Amino acid sequence: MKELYGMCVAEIGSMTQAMRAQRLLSELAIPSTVQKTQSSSGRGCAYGLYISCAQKENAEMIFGREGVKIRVWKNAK
Amino acid sequence: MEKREMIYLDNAATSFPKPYAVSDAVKKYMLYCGGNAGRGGYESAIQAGRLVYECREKLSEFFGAKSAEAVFFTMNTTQSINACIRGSLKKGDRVLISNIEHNAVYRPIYKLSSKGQIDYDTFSVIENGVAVSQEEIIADIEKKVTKNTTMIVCTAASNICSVRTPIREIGELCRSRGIRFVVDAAQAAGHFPLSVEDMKIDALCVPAHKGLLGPQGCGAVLLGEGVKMQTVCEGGNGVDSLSGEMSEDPPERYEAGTLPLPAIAGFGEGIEVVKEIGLERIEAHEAALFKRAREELLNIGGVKIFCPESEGSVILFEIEGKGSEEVAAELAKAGICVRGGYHCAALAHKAMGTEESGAVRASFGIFNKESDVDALCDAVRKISK
Repeated sequence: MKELYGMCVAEIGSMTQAMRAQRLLSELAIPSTVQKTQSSSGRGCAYGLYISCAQKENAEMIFGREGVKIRVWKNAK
Repeated sequence: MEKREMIYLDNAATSFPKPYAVSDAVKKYMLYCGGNAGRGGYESAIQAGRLVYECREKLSEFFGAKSAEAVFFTMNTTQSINACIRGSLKKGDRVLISNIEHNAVYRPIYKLSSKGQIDYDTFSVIENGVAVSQEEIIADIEKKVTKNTTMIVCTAASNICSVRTPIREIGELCRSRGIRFVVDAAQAAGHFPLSVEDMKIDALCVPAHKGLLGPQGCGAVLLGEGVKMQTVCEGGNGVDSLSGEMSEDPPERYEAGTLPLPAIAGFGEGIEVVKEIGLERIEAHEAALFKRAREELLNIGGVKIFCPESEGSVILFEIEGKGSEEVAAELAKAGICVRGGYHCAALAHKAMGTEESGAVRASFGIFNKESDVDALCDAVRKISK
């Protein structure tokens, strides 16, 4: 997936949280996509929020401030 | 279904007609999306998830909740109320409800009480057919609150007449005493402003299909900040699927099973239509129709209007010597849709003094015209002769 080169994935536990995260990023004009992803937590379903790794720090800051629960950050393969 | 001319004055049961934007949204979802939210990872499933989230956002904004996560969907207001009552109360709790509650509130409370799990009392909003003042309502509540009182459940507006309850003041009282405040907004949502945070409401229960002009099959609860309840229905919700427990976080915690996605699509559009028209305009329009009906009906011999001083979208009346169902049937023959009987509101009819024969309810919506009111009054005039 060439378009995902340099992309980071925030693993999120629910669709609502994923949509909220995407909304927060869109308000800062940070493009993102939501895809269902293999959970790395062993808790079941998960959603991956894909963003450019260049925006990861900004995203972490806004998610921390707004209380968006990120299970884990991964690099997109 | 055959299309026929009718004058629809039963908007308190469900609003009609629905805006084209609403039916179009339902159709578009069914024809072009069709995915299940929070399940698959393919495009239409993600689209459905987005549609659900956007409807949560619209509800949250419209009703002044803290965030979209504070909104969970149900099938209707009755389910919403049941989720809040059964999910919050524990053995030994005492609950106060108003004496004009719909059976959606009365029956779950009555059942829990009859099983000895809780105790309940009522406070008066209507007494002997007369609306009680706000000050008297609050004083009555103050008098009846005990140390065991953990919840007040109250309708924002009656479903049999246009009497309202002082939600803001009751919210203040509940917050100051640490009492959970659940509001039935079946007849208020989309008719006049309500705000979860400003009015200190812990759980606001709303339908899609009445004042918010959406389809049947969907309701919602808007939770106040930090409000948490037990679940009353468990099952799949697409979160923490390997656990035997429902997930902890709202809204999915309270949403077991597939959501009514076509209805949610229409719900979101209904809110948009209401916003576009404007709540103030809707409230004023319905009150104007009420006043016109009141004026005309009061001039007809043998017609009695109940709580005529409370102006809103619902007018309750009877014709001397005629049963309410008889009158409703006669009106139906004339193509006028109203509802006779008891309106699933045992308590309210007792408070009104109409528990013997019920009464006739005409309820107005934003799409009604003055000529609809005139047609109702002309028909009542003929029936009363």
